[in-house]
Amino acid sequence: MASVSMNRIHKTYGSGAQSHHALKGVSLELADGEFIALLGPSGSGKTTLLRTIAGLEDIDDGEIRIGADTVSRATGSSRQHVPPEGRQVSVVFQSHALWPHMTVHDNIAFPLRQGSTPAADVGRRVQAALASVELDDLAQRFPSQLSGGQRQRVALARAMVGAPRVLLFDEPLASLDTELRRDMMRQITKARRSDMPMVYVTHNQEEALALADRIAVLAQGEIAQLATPSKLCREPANAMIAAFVGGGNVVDATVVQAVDAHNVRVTVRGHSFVARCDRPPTAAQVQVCIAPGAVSLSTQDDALELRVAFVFFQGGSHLVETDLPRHGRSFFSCVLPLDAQPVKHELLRLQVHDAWIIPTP
Amino acid sequence: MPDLFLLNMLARARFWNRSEQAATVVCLLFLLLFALLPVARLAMELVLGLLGSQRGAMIAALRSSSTLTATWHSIEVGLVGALIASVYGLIVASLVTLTNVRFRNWIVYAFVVQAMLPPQVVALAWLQIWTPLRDVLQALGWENASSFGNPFQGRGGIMALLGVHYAPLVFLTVRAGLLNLPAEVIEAARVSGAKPLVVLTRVIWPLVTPALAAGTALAFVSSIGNFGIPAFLGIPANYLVLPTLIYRELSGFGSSAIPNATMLSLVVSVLAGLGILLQHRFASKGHFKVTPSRLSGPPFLLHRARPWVEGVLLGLILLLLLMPMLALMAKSLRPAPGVPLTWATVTLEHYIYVLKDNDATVRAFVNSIGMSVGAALVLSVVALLMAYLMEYRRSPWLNRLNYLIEVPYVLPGVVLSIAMILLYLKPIMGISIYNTVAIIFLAYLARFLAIQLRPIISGFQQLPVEMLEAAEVFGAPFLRRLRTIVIPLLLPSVTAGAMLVVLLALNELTISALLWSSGSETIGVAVFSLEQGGESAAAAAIGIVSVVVANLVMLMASILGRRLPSGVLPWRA
Repeated sequence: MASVSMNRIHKTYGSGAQSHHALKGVSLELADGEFIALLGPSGSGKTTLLRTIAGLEDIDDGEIRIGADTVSRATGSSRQHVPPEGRQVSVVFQSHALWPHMTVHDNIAFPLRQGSTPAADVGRRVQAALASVELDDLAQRFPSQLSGGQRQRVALARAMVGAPRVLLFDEPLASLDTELRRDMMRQITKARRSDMPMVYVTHNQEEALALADRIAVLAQGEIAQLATPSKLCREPANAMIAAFVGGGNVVDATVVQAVDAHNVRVTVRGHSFVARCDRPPTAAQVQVCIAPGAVSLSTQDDALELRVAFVFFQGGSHLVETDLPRHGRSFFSCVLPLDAQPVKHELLRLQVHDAWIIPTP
Repeated sequence: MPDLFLLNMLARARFWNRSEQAATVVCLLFLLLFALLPVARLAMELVLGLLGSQRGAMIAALRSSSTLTATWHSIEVGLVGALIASVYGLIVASLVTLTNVRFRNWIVYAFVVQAMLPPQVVALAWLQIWTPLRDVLQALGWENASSFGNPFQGRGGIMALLGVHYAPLVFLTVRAGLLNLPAEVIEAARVSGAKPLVVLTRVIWPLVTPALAAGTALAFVSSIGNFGIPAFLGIPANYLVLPTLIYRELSGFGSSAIPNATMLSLVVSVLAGLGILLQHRFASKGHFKVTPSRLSGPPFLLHRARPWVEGVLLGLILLLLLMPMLALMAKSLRPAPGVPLTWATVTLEHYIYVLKDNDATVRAFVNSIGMSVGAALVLSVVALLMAYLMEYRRSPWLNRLNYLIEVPYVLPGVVLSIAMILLYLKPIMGISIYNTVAIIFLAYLARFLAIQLRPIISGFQQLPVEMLEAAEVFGAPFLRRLRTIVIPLLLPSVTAGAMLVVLLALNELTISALLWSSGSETIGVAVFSLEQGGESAAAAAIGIVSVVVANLVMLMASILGRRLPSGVLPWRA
């Protein structure tokens, strides 16, 4: 029994020529305690999907269930919509959304005071929630007296204190710097509970890969791929995902021959290598995804010869952009070790170690 | 069943909550009752009159020489008043905003106080200046001075006073425009080698021209609709503008009074409407969507000229604001005309008379205070709900009827009054509110909704929407959400709006002049009646009291204003 279930959700803003089809039949199931990240560029529909779960947006078609309860349903002209206050869900907002006129204690106590929690329990549970985010002694402060990181921790405590059925995150780390981002990622991981699924909206793949059990990549109102982080990186379903997650190079290749059911030998500019695949391709021309780190310098005769166009020094390595066009806007790039010392216009000889044939739809 | 129809529309508007639906119905009914109904009633009177038996009388009223004269007078005082306001407002706004003059906050406050004072009291005050001024002129050797009538009475005085009174409107729009200028625009001109005066006239002023034009159009509309100044300065000199002509028609109350007044209200509405169209056209221009960096400080530093500029600004305040008020105060403290005012002769008898002994003026204070506070309370609730539904819920019906909110406020006051008279002249369901305070109170609710709503709307716009969404998500239903989150967060904006409503309702004369009767006097009516009855000293005493009250309310709002988002209080940019 999935604890959140979304079935063919449609959502359109506006009407007529101005309308925008934000969600086009999205279906998604979350198991109890599962952490799913919704990853996608802005305008992909990920925030809209989160808001439909919270009840902050209604839906035009489809059904959303939390546990055994149907919270949103729209078919034809019939509409059913449980308002947000009736859903027992929590949200951690991007801008923390702490109420400036209440103390930290009152902010966190707010969800409890809406229910039937006895007054004595409220204090105890607020203290426990504050302790869990390691802010025990700030209960009487006002939000304006906290740092950005502390505010976001209080927002997390407020979201957890009422034992919600689902915990939703709307880009909670977007306004924090790198150090605080790591810290909040630890806090969020600590907050996971086996009976509470979490949905996490982000456009930052690092957060999604680090936190989530599964990642749903959204593009133009549809789920383009739903997979575990490692599968998403190693086996992207299309060129957009390959480029968006992990910055993989998608280039054209020619099939030479199948090695077995899941490995095919291909060539790019005369260089031949083995690429993984779901099922052997039927066409002679395919697209392969090569991660920037999946190549190394080579002395072989049939090496992939590429000319250096730009060198971005990364501190511990070099990111090199070459003259081979790839799908998307930029050129084939690869990571080379510190001692390689690539120079602009130099001819590189490379060996591809790992590649993935992008499945044809 | 209209109610079912409404609820049906609401169901399609996707409201999730029954109490929010109820709140929407309340707001819609309020708008229909107070904004749409009076205007519709007036329009109906016009159309039916022109189609029916009144046709001849109404057309005759339109063509009569008194109408044509009053229309021309309205146009000329409106245009010249707006021109004076425009020049004066532009110069003061430029000096205060673009240079490093000191006492800036005091100058801004003093300048805006002018617009917040009751116009009829300002007119009364200016009338008092002539006697001492004449004495001074005679003492200086100008023997003929006493053969002149009071020069403030009549056309020139009305134009000058309207200009000074509404200059703050231009000042505020221009100042807001100047504060919104991207700093780069000025810096680029200076880096290119332009001298300050060139930057001012070739770069800055052209960029604030839309703001200047919008402010000038606003001053024109306000001048056309003003009743207090032409009533005090024009009626004695038999120089009538449209509002005062309407007043005289209705005071006569012959059989043709209503059709005549209705026709005149059409003329004044058309004039005001033209001004409003111009204002909207200009106001929509000249907004810089992207403001990379605003002015961090005044771009022009005055050195040796600074004391002179400060002297001129403070001198203008002294001359145009303090001097008439001192003359008014002198009038109110003098036992009788002609008695020299010394410490020995100074008396409070006029204050005691108006505040204690005269039943009508005491009633006027009770009525005005009660109605202004009552209107502010009712409007606070309605406007808070309206702003919540419009800004947060994006209620399609309220947002579509948005422009209705402004109608009773931008219509000239006399027009709203005539609409109210037509609407409530006959008893409705056996209840007659005509000739009671109730009709004035209803008119106040209609007129001041826009004033109460504006600061709350801008409060909502500056509140992160997530604060309200969080309250929903964490389980608070509508009414509790209002109580625990919305009201505490928006209380400063609501209070600021309420104080503006109290201020304007206390100062108001235009509406009550046409709607009052014995028992429903207002402070404005009391000043007017006393002056017309020759009791100038008593009128001056009420005037001084209302000026003091207006300043107290403004000061309270200013203290509160420190906690407000910018732009809520007109005198705090």
